[in-house]
Amino acid sequence: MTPAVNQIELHPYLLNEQVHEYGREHGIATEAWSPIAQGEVLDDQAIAGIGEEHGKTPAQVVLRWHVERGNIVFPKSVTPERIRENFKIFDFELDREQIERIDGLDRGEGGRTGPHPDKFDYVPD
Amino acid sequence: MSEVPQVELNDGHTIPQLGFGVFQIGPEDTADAVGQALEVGYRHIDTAEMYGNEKQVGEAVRNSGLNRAEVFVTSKLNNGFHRPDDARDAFDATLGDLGLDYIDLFLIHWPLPTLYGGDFVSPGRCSRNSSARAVRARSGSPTSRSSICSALTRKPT
Repeated sequence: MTPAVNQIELHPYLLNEQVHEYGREHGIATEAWSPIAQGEVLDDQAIAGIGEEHGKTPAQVVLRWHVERGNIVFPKSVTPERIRENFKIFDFELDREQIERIDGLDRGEGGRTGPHPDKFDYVPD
Repeated sequence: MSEVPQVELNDGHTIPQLGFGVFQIGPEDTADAVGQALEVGYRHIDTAEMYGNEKQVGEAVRNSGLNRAEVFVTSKLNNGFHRPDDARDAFDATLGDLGLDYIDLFLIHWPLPTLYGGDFVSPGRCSRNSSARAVRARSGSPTSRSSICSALTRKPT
């Protein structure tokens, strides 16, 4: 049974390209959790710079990057302003060079913020 | 409102590419947050049994005035429920807590390979480095339960 979806940690600091590529090859859609690396991208100069070029916030730039890479994302917020902001990502596009600039921020395993799925073994009581 | 692209899944269903997550939103804040998201135009909500807010997600979806078919709801099988009978029960509990007749996507939250002795008995090595498997699951259909259970037919170590 081939899964329909694989939900993995994926953001500019953890491109997780091997798993992402596996999904593409096998028709498994990729959902990206911690899409903005728990907020870390908000302080990133490279991302802020791209945001300035478009009049968009760092979060919007990164969510747009996800969309252009074909990822499914579902950012979380309890702030009404951010709930609205995160939704406004379909009125601009990143160019190839900007996408590559964000891709270039990958830190590999060093960018992982959450548990590693091969090792995680927490079971609730 | 339908500016959000739809991604086509390998089973022919579609999912809005942009959704609203509720990880680490406490139950007391969840109904309001989801309600706002739906009002803004989100049509895909991602929750999990582990987050403890499924009831409030369901409440917001049901109270939104939207048709059930307009909202894509994802939840996830919690750790500790990977045995087939437990998975069946957990799925039923999730549906009950959400107060919905079906959910659009039910994911295995974490593969827990160290507890379950290796890869899933599902095709491919796609469980390596991945945090969830997906089964599309609708209640009342014998195939839905068996899909979950076939994805979980591994014996614990």
